[in-house]
Amino acid sequence: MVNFTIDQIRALMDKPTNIRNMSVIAHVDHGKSTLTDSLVSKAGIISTGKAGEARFTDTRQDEQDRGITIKSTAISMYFELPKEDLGDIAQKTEGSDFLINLIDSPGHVDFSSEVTAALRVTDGALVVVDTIEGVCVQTETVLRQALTERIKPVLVINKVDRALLELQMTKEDLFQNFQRVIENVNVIISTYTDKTLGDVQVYPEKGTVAFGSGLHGWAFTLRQFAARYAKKFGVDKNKMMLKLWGENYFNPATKKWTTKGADAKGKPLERAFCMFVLDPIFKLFDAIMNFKKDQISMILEKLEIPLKSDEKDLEGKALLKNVMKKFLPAGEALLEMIVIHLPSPATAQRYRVDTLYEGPLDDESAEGIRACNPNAPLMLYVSKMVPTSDKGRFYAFGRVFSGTVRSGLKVRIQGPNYQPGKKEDLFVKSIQRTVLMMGRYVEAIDDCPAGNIVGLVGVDQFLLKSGTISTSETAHNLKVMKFSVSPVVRVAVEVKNANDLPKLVEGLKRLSKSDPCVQCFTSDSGEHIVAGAGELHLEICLKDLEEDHAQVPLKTGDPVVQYRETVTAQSSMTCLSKSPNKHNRIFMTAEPISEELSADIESGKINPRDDFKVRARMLAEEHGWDVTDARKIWCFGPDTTGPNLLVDMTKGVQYLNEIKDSCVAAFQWATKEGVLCEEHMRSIRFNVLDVTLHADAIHRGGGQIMPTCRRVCYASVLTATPTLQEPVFLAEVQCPESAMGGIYGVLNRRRGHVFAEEQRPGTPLYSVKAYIPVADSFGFTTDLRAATGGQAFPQMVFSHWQVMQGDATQAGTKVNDVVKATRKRKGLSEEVPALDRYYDKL
Amino acid sequence: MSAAIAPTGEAALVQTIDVPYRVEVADAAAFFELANVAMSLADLVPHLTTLAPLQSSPNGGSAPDQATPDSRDGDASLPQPHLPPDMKECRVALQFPDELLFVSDAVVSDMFRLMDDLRERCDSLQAIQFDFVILADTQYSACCVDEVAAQHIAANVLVHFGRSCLSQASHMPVLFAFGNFPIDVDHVSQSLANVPNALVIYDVMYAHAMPTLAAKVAPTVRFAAIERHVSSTNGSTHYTRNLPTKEDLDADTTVVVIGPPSPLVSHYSLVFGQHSQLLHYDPLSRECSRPRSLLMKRYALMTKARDADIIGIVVGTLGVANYVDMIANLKKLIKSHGKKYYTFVLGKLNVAKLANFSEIDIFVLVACPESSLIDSKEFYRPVVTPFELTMALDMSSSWTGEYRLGFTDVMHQMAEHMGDEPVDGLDQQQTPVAAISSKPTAADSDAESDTDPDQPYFSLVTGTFKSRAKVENNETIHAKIQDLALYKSGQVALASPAAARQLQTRQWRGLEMTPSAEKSLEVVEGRFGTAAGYADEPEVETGKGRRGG
Repeated sequence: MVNFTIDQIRALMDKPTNIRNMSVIAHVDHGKSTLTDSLVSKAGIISTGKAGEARFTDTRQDEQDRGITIKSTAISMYFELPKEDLGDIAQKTEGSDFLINLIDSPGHVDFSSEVTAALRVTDGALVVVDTIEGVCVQTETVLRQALTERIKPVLVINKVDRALLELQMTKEDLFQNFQRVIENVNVIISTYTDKTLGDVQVYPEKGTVAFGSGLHGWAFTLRQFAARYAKKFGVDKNKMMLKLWGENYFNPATKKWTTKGADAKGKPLERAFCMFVLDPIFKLFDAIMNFKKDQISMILEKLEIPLKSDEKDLEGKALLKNVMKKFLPAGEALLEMIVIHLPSPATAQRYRVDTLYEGPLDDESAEGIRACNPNAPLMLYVSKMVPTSDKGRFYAFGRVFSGTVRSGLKVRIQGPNYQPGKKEDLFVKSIQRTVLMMGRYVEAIDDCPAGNIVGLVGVDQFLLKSGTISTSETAHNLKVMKFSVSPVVRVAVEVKNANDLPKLVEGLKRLSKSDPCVQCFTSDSGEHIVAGAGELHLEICLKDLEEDHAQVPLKTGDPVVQYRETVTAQSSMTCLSKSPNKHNRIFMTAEPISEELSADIESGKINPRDDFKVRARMLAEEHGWDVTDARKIWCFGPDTTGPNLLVDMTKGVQYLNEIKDSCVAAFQWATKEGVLCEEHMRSIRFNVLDVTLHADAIHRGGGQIMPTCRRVCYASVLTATPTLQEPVFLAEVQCPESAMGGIYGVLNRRRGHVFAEEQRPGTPLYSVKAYIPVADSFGFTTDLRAATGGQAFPQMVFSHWQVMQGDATQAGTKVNDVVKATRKRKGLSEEVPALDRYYDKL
Repeated sequence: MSAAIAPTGEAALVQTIDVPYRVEVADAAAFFELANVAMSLADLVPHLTTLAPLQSSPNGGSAPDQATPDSRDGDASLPQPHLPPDMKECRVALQFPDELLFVSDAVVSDMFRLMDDLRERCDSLQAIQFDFVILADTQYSACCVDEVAAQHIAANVLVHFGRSCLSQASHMPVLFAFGNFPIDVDHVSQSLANVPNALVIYDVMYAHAMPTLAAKVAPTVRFAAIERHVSSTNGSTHYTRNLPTKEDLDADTTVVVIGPPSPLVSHYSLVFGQHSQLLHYDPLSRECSRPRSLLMKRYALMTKARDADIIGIVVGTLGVANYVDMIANLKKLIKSHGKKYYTFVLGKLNVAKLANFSEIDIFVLVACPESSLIDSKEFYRPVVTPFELTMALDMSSSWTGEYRLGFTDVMHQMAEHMGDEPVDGLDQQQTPVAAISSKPTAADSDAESDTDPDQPYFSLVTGTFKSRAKVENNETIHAKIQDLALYKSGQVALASPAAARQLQTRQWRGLEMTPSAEKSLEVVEGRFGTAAGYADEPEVETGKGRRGG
């Protein structure tokens, strides 16, 4: 029975101090959706009995079938906090009722973009970590993302039941285990911490860490135990919490607290955490699982857990679940932690505004965001699109940062390329309807004030994936999200029946909308390409495309990897190309630029919009460039932002400024379609050494210069030992020691190499980190499962570009084979064009 | 005899066919069946006397410029035919493709001989003096009839030699001499032995061998016959290829194209590739191959064309019938989609010429079906055909892989899309361009009336949303003149016209338009006189010194 009404929620939406926008983030299979169920059941949306099994937020059939979350799902819930707890909330609140907007996110690395989209609209994060597996690669990734978005984390250590039931850990071991997990999380937090956010490390003694089992529906923070014992010991609850963690011991003989692990006689003392917190739990587990009937009733009485008559007949795990749910209900513990420790929008937007907003931080929009002011101009960020029941239409899912959005309001819809004062990527339209996202349902609401998460109808036609919605004409965009994954794996899809082509095109558009990360486009050879972050991601996307978005039978090609063309040496000679009329000459060389610089350009640290003097200083100081060269960078490419540079090293060439535009255009073209196999170029610096131009302007027009400059770029590459760069995945595999051999075998076959291998302390699990070329990663997961008897499960995320050994123009090298295969696939002549096609003799 | 061989221009990138064997000059008469040509010529002459020869205007008049499709008046200012009282001289233009130019000399002498023979036998020709002029280095592709060049030299008749695209000429009487190019009929029949259900499409130069081939292959093999039509009014000939419709083709029909690797092959691979198997037999290399389908590449170009805001219409023919209507229709189509167009008359296309117009997003080439398929890989901006542009601009259209190249076909397609009466190509002489109303077509908004007209569309090139083009034409710009804003340093920023937008992205914008900060000097009177002593200098005694210098 849902224990709240939409009207209650709507009323709460006007009180930003009583809203908590939070996402649940973790590594795959650490129990996010299961844990979320506890909160959902606490809100009465699902029955308590189903919690832990329903995975209410996994709304798609394939999510339920596969047991993994694919899309992030939002749900709004209403809770009331007991009056006595209100005092613990450090930030301003009004009344005791709270609105929690929760977003459950997927844990698989291929769907990281969903996490990014979820984090943008929330202020706090519930980080879930498996007791046994500990902090994994994806835990780190999502935590890092959360911190860069200035999202405050709290920690839940999940699956404690497994430690007790499967590993039969002792109390002290379990404590050590908890301690280690918390330490690991804090290490990550302090690495990526942002000073503005203050200390966001998690501390059990402050109540920012919960322990529990999502599956069994129980969880606790030290606060709950402290509350129990505070009365008994007659100490303040907060002081009690401090005592319950770390090097604090209670000597039952002297009834004194101490910080030493032994009493005066040297007899070891039991840690307070073990004694007061773990002991009752251990006793309960022991009694129930070993069917000690008499003990059970005694303990239950002591812990004041009433059982209904029919529940008394339960045994074993069923009873355990039932009892634990009553003893330490997870919903309550989590709710308390969320409400007390996660920031409200009113608190969070104050420090988030400068990372959110692109424009000046003192304009009306920025002020509105900072104050979370419902009467300021509207500022709303649409972070993703959620499919509606109406095929092909989407709810624009986003967060109101400032102002109030209501049905019929005329707004400015600003796409990602919008720039203030220009009309590009800008639409002025009315909002059709506003809705509240409730997991698999939506509820219509009339309006939605600042600080809330909302779904909009009628915006999806104007935004592809994300964008800013505003009512202020001067509003800049809210910052575009930066994803931690990039779509490096691509497949070509075609329709089985030619008449279905328009449906495929429409389907690609819908697919592109429905996923924050996927890319759909046509290649030059006319193939429709779908690009995703990994194999699983692509698999899901293609399934959606065929079944939901296009609804026509499709043929899918093999996965294809994108390469990058690069050079490994300076051009062996100065290359010259003459214009078609032979009156103009361009002299050029190519040379590699360092990987660090390329990475800096790709991450936007060095970008074409920088002031050229600042950029030159940075290039000189950090990358060893000559300052004069660095000041004369004509452009970046491809697409004016890529990691290739065109540098003017000419001296005193007349009319050079007239041909610059043509050279830049040619450079963009050449870097976009490299000479080897028409892939993008990467990490190449082109030096224009000299230019001879015809004195008459008509003979040095764009038509003469552009083809020439492109040819000389190609000639320079061909003389500079060209090769390819291939994308490489970072793979992390967790497995028991027995499966290690299988992992190494599979990795070796796939050109993978292990660079780190460590045992997880306190567990029999090993964690192996390896680099594996994306080209060899297709089928890796299946292969690995087969080789390890299903014990190993890899997480792969794009890591870097790796130079392939050898000269791409020399037959017989591996890279040459790749070049030829790529050329063939693109319908080009198989051989790399010879140098004399581009190089002209003086 | 005069020879009008223009100097060779820049090497054309348009695919031309090399003929890698020599036609023996001595055999030229037999090779081109010149006797037949002479007979046809004789047949034509009576028509000529009644019809009137075309003569160039006295001042020469640059025909290509006048025929610029921008001004349909071009047609009006074409040299007006006048009726000579009595025909004394008949000037025959002999148009050769570059690779057959070497036989032109022999052909001319043979023709003189043949015409002399004819004259002796035929009284009506007695009074007429024949004059032969060789045309070479055609303005556009050599497969089309170069009427403009023929008009320049005031030719009465044109004889086209060698390979032809069979496009119908609009103005003058034309005869064709394809030439009997050698082909190994036995080898062809062997190659076709295992494709009983074939439709043979052959290049015109091999027409002579087809009866022999037909006798040697299975009777189920069909031939797309080339039919000759002789106009009853002016005796001009034109040919058509008798192609079955796609519906007539069985699913297992193999389309066999016989001819050198040429646009002909690409053309039919596009037209038939979707439905049938395709084979290409090359008589030169004696190879039988399956041509790579271009369809997907052309599809990729269509998706690019859809994103183009500024379109360049390149006039690639001045001879093919209906080209003016085609251009007019294109303009109308482009305008109705809110895009901007420019029209170019460039002669043969090459990379350098088109790269001069970097502002253009895509070019559409109006040319004969065979020369409009250009592999624009090396071009800075792609070149598409009118059909492709039509398909691309029509958002709602469901392209199913069918492909059309003929002007008439494409114009009907366009008309369908614009929901308009087609500008009928067949009675083009009666259809003044002014009649093509420029009323804004509401096809777009009608088709998607349930959605917003401003709605961006999903661009398959970039995989992102793209706003629909809203390039204002001149009227709206003038209406919006108050929108003009002065940006820094006096540059004028227009609301969003294409040219201004382009200019914004350029660094080099020509010479500085704004007056420089320095104050301009007033004009003052200078010195007068010679260096030995200016008028304003005091008189000095000679020999005393050299002043000024």
